[in-house]
Formats: sequence, C-alpha cells, structure tokens
Amino acid sequence: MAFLIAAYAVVLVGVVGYLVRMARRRRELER
Amino acid sequence: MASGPVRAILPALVILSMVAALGLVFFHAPVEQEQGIVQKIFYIHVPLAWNAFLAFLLVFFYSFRYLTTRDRRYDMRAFAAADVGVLFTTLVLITGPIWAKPVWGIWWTWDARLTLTLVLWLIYVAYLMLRHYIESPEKRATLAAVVGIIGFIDVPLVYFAIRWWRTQHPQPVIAGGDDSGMDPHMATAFWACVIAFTILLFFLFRRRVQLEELAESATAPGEVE
Repeated sequence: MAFLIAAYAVVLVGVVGYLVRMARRRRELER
Repeated sequence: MASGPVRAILPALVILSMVAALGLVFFHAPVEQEQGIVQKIFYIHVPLAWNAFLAFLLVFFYSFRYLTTRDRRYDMRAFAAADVGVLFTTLVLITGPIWAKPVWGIWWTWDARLTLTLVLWLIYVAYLMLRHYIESPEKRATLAAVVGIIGFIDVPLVYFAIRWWRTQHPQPVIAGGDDSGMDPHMATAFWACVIAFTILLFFLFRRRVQLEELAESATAPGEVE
C-alpha cells in the first residue's frame, strides 16, 4: 500500500509542482 | 493558441477526467491476483509513458515544421512539448522503480526497456539544456529542431524494446498478441486513465506555449502575434 500511495503522490506533486513553477514564471513576466 | 471557451473548459475537463479515471481505478477495476493492490500503479505508469511518447512526437512534428517554415511559433511549440514530455518521462522513471521494488524485489535493472527510457529522458534533458545555453534565437531554434527530430528515434526503440528483446520489464499487455490482454474492468479503467492523461498533456502543453508567447512578447514586443 505504501508503494502505491508513494507512486500516486509522486505524480500529484510532479504535476502540481510544474503548474506552480509555470505560475511563478508567469507572474515574473507580467511584472 | 485558441482561447475563450477552451481556456475555461480544459482545466475542468482535466479535473473531471482525472476524478472519473481514479474512480474507475479504485472502485471498478479488480485487484490483480498476483501483485495485489500495488498493480494499480500500472494505471498511471503506462498512460504517462504513452503520453510522453505523444509529447515527443509533437516535438518531432513542430521541429520539422520550424525547419521548413522558420516560423518561431513552431519552435515555441516544440519547446513546450519537450518540457512536458520530460516531466512525464521523469514521472515514468520514478513510478516504475516504485512499482518494481515490491514486484521484482529490485528498484532498477539495466534491461533494454529501462535503459532506453533513461536514454530518452537524457536526450530531451539535453535538448532543454541546449536551448538554455544558446543565446541566439535562430541558432537555438535550428539546433534544437535537429536534436528534437533525431532524438525521436529513441521513442520507437523504447516502445518495441519489450517485443524485440528479452527484458525484465513485462511483455506488452496492450497489442501484444494472443497472450496479451486484461480483464474488461481493468481495460475500462486503463483507457479512462489514458484519456485523462492525454487531456492533462494538452492542458499543460497549452499553458506552456502561452508562457513562452508571453516571454517572447516581454523580450521582443511586436514580434509575436
């Protein structure tokens, strides 16, 4: 079960992290 | 890129398709008899891999279009697709070992499929690094397009590795011949995940292209429509 949760958590963190990185860059460019 | 309704619909579609796919994975698809619950990593691992291939196909297509037209918009799209493709391949390379450890007893082995996938990741990381270090926009776009086209050679190699060579990685479950296939409930959940991750890919790709267009207009106003 721990492996399953770890795999799904990695995908969630990866995608959300990518979106956050893009949002930060967008804010920098819009400034 | 298209805006208006697409801008509003696409994020909602990502969330809805993901929730539906996860519902099917955990409440519709049965638990696999040999591997147990950990087999459900399959439903994210394989769709991520297929969509990474799709992202690199977009890199190939837009790189080719850039070289034939010299239109910078194609270069931006190739870059955006490579960036999302690297994200998806990174997730494949992390979820794979997490699945391998409880099932194979090892995190990693240097078989053809795994090694070629790592090579694929390295090729497109090199593509992103190349873009980062070349300052001239024309030179950067041209060299990146060449790498984007040549690098795609590894995608069919990764896909066919488990068909051509004996590997630790399992033989194909989808389109693998008479011995392949899966339970219909598993297949429903699997294809729902493929659709959900494809929508996610296009959502991220579109956002990345918009960011590049914004960056381009910030540095050279008036060049990009």
